[in-house]
Amino acid sequence: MTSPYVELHCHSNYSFLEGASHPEDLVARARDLEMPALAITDRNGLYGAVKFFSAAQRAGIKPIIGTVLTVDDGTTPPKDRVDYDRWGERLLLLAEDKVGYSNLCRLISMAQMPNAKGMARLPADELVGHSGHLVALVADPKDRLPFYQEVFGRERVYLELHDHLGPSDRGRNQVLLDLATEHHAPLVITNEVFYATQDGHRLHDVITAIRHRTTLDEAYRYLHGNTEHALKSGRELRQVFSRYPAAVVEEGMRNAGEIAGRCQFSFDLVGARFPGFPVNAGETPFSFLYRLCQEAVREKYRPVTPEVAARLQKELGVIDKTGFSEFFLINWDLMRFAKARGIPGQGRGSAADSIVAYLLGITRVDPIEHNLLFERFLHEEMTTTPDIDIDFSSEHREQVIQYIYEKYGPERTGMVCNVVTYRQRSAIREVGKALGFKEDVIDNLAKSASAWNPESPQTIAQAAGYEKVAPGQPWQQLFDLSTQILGFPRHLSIHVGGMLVTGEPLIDIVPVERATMPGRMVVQFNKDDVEELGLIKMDMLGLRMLSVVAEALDLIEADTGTRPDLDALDLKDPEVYDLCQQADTIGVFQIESRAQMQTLPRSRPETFNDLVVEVAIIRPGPIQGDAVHPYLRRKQGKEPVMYIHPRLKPILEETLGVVLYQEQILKISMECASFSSAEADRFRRAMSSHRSHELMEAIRARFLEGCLQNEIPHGVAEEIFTKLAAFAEFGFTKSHAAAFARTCYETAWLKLHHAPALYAGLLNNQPMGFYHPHVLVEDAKHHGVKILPVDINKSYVRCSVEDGALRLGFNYVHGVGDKALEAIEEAQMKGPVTSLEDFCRRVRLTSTSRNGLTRAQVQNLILAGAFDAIDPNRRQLVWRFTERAEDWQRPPMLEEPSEDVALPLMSHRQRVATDYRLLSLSTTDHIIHFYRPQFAQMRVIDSKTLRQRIRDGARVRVGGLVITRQSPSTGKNFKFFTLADEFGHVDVILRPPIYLRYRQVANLEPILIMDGTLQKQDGVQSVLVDHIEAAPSLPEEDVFPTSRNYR
Amino acid sequence: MTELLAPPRPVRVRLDGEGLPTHLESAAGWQPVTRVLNRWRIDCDWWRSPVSREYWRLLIDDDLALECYCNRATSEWFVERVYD
Repeated sequence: MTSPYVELHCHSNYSFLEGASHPEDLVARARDLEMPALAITDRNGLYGAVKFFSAAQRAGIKPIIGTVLTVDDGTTPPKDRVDYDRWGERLLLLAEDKVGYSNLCRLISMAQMPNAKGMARLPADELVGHSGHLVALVADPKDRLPFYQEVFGRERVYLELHDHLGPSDRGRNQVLLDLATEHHAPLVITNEVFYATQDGHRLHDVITAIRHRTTLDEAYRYLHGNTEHALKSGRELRQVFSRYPAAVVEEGMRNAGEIAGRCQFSFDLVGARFPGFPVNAGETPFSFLYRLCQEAVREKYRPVTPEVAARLQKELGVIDKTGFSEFFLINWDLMRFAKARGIPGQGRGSAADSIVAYLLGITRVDPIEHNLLFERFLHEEMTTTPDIDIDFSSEHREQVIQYIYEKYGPERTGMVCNVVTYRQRSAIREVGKALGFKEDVIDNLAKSASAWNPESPQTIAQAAGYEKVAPGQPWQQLFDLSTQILGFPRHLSIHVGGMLVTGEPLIDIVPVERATMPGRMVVQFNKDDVEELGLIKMDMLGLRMLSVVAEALDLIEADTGTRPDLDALDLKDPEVYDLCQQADTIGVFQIESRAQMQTLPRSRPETFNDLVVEVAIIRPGPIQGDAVHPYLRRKQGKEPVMYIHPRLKPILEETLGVVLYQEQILKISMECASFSSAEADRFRRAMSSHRSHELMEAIRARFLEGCLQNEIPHGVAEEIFTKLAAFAEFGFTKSHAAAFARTCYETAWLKLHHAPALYAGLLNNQPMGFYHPHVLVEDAKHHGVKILPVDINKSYVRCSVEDGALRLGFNYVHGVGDKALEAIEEAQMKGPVTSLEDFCRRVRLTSTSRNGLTRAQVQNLILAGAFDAIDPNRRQLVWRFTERAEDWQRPPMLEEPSEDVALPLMSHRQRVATDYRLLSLSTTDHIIHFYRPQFAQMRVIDSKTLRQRIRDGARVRVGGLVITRQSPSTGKNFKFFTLADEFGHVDVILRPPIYLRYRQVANLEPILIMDGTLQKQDGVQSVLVDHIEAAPSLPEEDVFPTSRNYR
Repeated sequence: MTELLAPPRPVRVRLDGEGLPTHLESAAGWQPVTRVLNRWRIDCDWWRSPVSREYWRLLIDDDLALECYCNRATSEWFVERVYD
C-alpha cells in the first residue's frame, strides 16, 4: 500500500497578498480530503507557521513546516516590488526535524536581513552550510540542479511537477522529466496551492490585483487562468496527471507521501526559552526569588498577616512548580533598572493579581487589599508564560528596550512582530479599487463602513447614499469579497512593546527581519505565536500618562522643593472621590472621556474599588452588553442588590451582584462547580475566545454537573452559566482595571492638589488623552490656575510651573521646531535677555530652521508675547525686527539709529486672536467671550446658567466652540458633540435624522448654535438637538482650534 | 499560420467514457480525433462576464489541427482556431 498523497506546496494568506486562505481553512480542507499531513510553505517567512501548526494538531493532521525561498538568480533584482515578485528562483524547503527547522530559520533570516521589506532574497552560495536536514523541491531549477544536489544531497532534492491545466503546463513538466532523467533526480507531485477550495480563486485574483496596486482588468496578465490552485485530493490529482506516463505519476505521488513521512519537526521550544538569570553561587533562581520576596514582604506589609504570608507561600509554590522563577527575576531586574534611572514604570494587566509581582516592584496595587485573584495570572498547569505587561513613560521606553538588548545580547533579543490585518475600511478600499469602483464611491463607502456591519450589499449601497442604484453584481461582489478578506494579513509591523528573549540564539528559533529602526530586529512570530510556544515575551508599553505624572512631580519639586510620594497615598482622600463624582475629570487618566463624565455622577465612586469598577465598566463591550445600567441602578439604590445564589455573594459583593471581572468568572466556577484553578482558567478562556458550539456545550455540561454536586439547583446553575457566558464576551481583568485605577487616582489627586503641574505635564506630552490643549488650558483656568504667556526670560522649552502658575513653554509657539528650541535655550544661557536686539545678537538668523532661528520664528515669538516683559508693544517690535534684523547680525558699530514708527498696541481682542493663531489656545479670554454679545441677542444660554438654573425638559438654545465630535460604534448612528464656552462645556446629542439634515454645517463650522431640549438626570445633562446653525461671524479673522473627532 | 474563427463555430463532438473527444462532425461527416495535442482550462473574468471553458488542441484524422473548447456551463462545443 503506497502512502496517501500529501500536499507539500501550500501558501496561506501569510504569503502576504499571495495566498487566499487562512492556515486554519487550509487545514480544515485537508481534513475533509483526508490528507494525513499538510505542509505550509509561505513565501520567505514562517509568519503563519505557529497558527498552522496548532490548527493542524487540533485537526489530527501532521503539520510540516517549510517555506518558498527567493534565491538570487544572478540577474539584477528590479527596484519595484511588483516586478520583484516575479524575479529570481523559487526554492521550496521543508524541515525534517529541529536541525532542519533551525536551518530554515537561518536561511530565511539571511534572505530577509540585508534586504528591504518584501524583497528578501538569498544568494545561492549562502545555502551552503545551512542545508542539512532540509528537503528541497524545485520546479524551475534552470541550470542549478547539480548545484542543489550537491548542497542538499542528491536524495533530498526533488523536481516538483505541478499541473494546473494551463496551456503550457504539460510542456514545462516535460522539461523537468527530461532533467530528472539526465540528473537522476527524484520527482514529486504538488499542486502549488494558493487557496483551500476552488471558490477561493476570486479572492486570489483580488489580492493579486491589490499586490500590483491596480484593478482586476489591469492586472489581467498576472491572474491565474483558472481555479486549479486549490487543495486537491490524490484522486483529483491523478486525474489531472492522467496525460503523463503512469510511472511518473506513481513516483510523484508516492514521493509526496514519503517526504511527509520524513518530516518530523514539532515545535518544542520550551527548553530554549530562558536566557538564564545569573544568581550567586549556592543560590537557585527560586531561592533568590524567595529571599527577595521575604525581604520585601516585611517592608510592604507591617505587620505581615497570616493571610499575606499564606498568599505569598501559595504563589511561590506555584512559581516553583511551573518553573517561572527566572521569568519573575528578569522582570524584577528590569524594574530595578528603571527605578535606578528614575524611569516611571508599572505593571498592568493580570500581573497585578500577584503578590510576588507587587513585592518585586513590578506592579503597584496591593492584591490583598484589593482582593485580586492570583489564579487569573498563573496556575499550576499553565504551560504558556504568564503575561507581564509593563507600562513605561513613553519617552523612556526606548532606554528600557535598549537595556534588555544589552543585558541578554542582540542575538537572543528581538521585537515581536505585529501582523497588520484587513479591517472593514481597508478591506472596502482595496477590494473596491481592485473591482474597479470609482475613487469617490470607495471613499464614501469606506467612510460609512461602520454602518454596514450587518448583512447586505443593499445596506452598503444605502450607507454610501446610493439607494437608487439597483444592488447588482458589483455590490454583491464587493460585499462578499470585502467580508472574506477581513482579518487577512496585509503586512508586517512591529508590535508596540513586545520583546522576545530566548535561551538559544533567536535565529535558530524564529526567522528575523530588519526593523525600520536601525539595529533593531523583528521576529516573524507575533505575540500569540510566542505565547503559544511558551517563549518568554516581555511587554514594554509606552504610556504617556506616566510621563505626565513623572513630569508633574519634577515640576512640583522644582517649584516647591518637595516631591510628593505617590506611593504613600492612602487612596482614601474624600476630595478625590468628590472630584470624580462631580465629573470634574478633564485630564484625569481613564475617566476623562465624555462617556466617563456622563456616568460618574451616577456611579458616584466613593472608594478605590468603585474607581476600579468605573475603569472596567465604561468601555464599548460592557456598554453594548448592557452591563452598565444594572450596575448603575444598583449603585444608585434604584434596584436591590440581589444574588442568584448565596454562594455568589462573597464573590460579587464588590460589584453589587453584577458580574464585571474575569476574576469573578474564575471564582464562581471554582466556588460553584468546584473547578480547579486550571479548569477555571480554561473555562474563562473558552468563554471569552471564539467559542465553538461543541466546546460551549461541553463546558456547560461540566459546569452544571459541578454545581449539582454542590447542591446548587439545576435551574439556578443554568442561570449563572447564562450570565457568565453573556458577560465573558467583554470581560475585563480586575487587576488591569486596578492598575489603571491607581494612576487614575493619582492624576485626580494631582489635579486637586497640584493642578498647575498636572496641566503643564499634560500640555507637554501631547498628543494624548481625550482633549485638545486649548480645552485643557480652559479647564485649568476654571480651576484658578493662572496661565502665563511665553516669556523670553522665564519660559523653558516645555511648559513649567512658576510660583504656582503655569508658564507656557516655547514648545507651544507655532512653527518653532526642535532646532529653534535648541537655539533659544542656548541664547537663554547667556544671561537675562534685555532687549529684542540683545536676543537677536545671541542667535543666528537663517533662512531655514536647520541651524538657528528663522525670521518667521522670531516674529512668532514676538507676537506670542515672548518679549512683552521687555516691551509690550508687539507690533512695534515686529516692525523694528523686520527693519533691523540684518544689522543685529553684524557686530555693533556706530550706526545711524533708524527711526521707530509709532504703532498702536494690540487690542485685547487682537491679542486673543493672535494667541489662537500662534498657540492654538488662549492665555486669557476664551474666544466665545467675544461672541457673547451676539449670543445674548440670539438668546443663547451659556453653559453655567444652563447647569445651574435651567430645568430638565426646557427648550434651550446653546452655543459654543465645538471641541469634540463623536460617532461611537455603540451609539447607533447618534452623534455626540461637545460645545465649549467661556464657562464650561455643553454636551449635545444629534439624532440620525438631525445629523443628516445639518451634516454640512455641523461638521464644518467651528462655532455652532443649537436648539433643543435639555435633559437633566442624576446630575448629568445634555441637550437633545433639533436645529443647528453656524454662529454669525465676527469682523476679526479668527483661527479656531480644531475639534477632536472620535469614532 | 492559424485562422481564428470569430465568432467561434459551434461543432458537435462525440466523447468517450472518460469525457475525451473521439469524433468531430464536419460537412464531410464525423471525423476521428487522432490525438489530443494539448488541453487546458480557463476560468476567468468572473467580475464582468464569467468565462469557463475546457480547451482542446486536437489532431483530426492525422491531418488537421484544431483548437476547440467546451463551454463548461452549457457543455456546448466550439471550434475557435484552425492550424494550417
